[in-house]
Amino acid sequence: MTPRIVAAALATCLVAVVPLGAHHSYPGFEPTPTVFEGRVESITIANPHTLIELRAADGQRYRIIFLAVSALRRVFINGAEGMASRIHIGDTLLVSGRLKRGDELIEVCSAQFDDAQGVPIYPLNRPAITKLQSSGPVPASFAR
Amino acid sequence: MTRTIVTAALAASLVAVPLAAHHSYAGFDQTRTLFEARVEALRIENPHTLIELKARDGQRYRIIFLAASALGRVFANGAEGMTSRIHVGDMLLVSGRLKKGDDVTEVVAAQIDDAAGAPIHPANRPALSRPPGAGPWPQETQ
Repeated sequence: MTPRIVAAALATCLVAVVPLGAHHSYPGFEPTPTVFEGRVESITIANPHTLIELRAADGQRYRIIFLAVSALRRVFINGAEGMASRIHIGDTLLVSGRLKRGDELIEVCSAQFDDAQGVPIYPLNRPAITKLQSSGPVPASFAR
Repeated sequence: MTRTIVTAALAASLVAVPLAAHHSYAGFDQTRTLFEARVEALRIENPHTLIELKARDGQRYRIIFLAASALGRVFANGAEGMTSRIHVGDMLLVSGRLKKGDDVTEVVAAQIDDAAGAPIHPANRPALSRPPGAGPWPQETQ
């Protein structure tokens, strides 16, 4: 009986846990979140992940690896349409996420982000992200 | 007087060249090609929104569409309206000028209909005619 249970547990691990881990373990991303500000340059609505590309005031580019198209409805009424009505090209976002630094851009997973007024966009039911002490006011050129 | 006209013409040509550089679509076919394909991604950005598609034969297409800031000319509410009209997984019928690349064929001057034959862009025109032998539209979505 015991070997059978062990075998079943191992099979479960191989079938269920490994693929999930491969998709969601975020290898190479920093374990702790970093806060940054950036202006939205593009929104790519696609599967398996919607992407939000931003550029910070210092020129650094970021790419938020966000939800799948089919999952946007969990966050925005009307899914992609709702997202496009809430986040616009040129908007400044305050983002907290785990980073993976590349040569040209920094990828961001597990992102939380607020709009320029400090209102949470994703996820909704949480306190506003605390702005970095050194970041100062949102640059006027970032205002839409 | 003639010198003034020549100077004005030269000045006008200096302005016209950058516009032509952006809109001459160098390298794209002069004639239109009709194809149908499924939307894989909508990339909303400036200077151009991109619509990525894949045809049934696996060929990938990238429609070089309006700037994000210009989407309001075509769709009510701009990008929001576009995402309410075109969804990932939708089949589209497209007529456009192509530039074939190794991985993807780029498309400019695109006219786009939905799977029901309703024009999406530009809106006020007859529906595109599907290619002969195209068969029924695939029913599956995403």
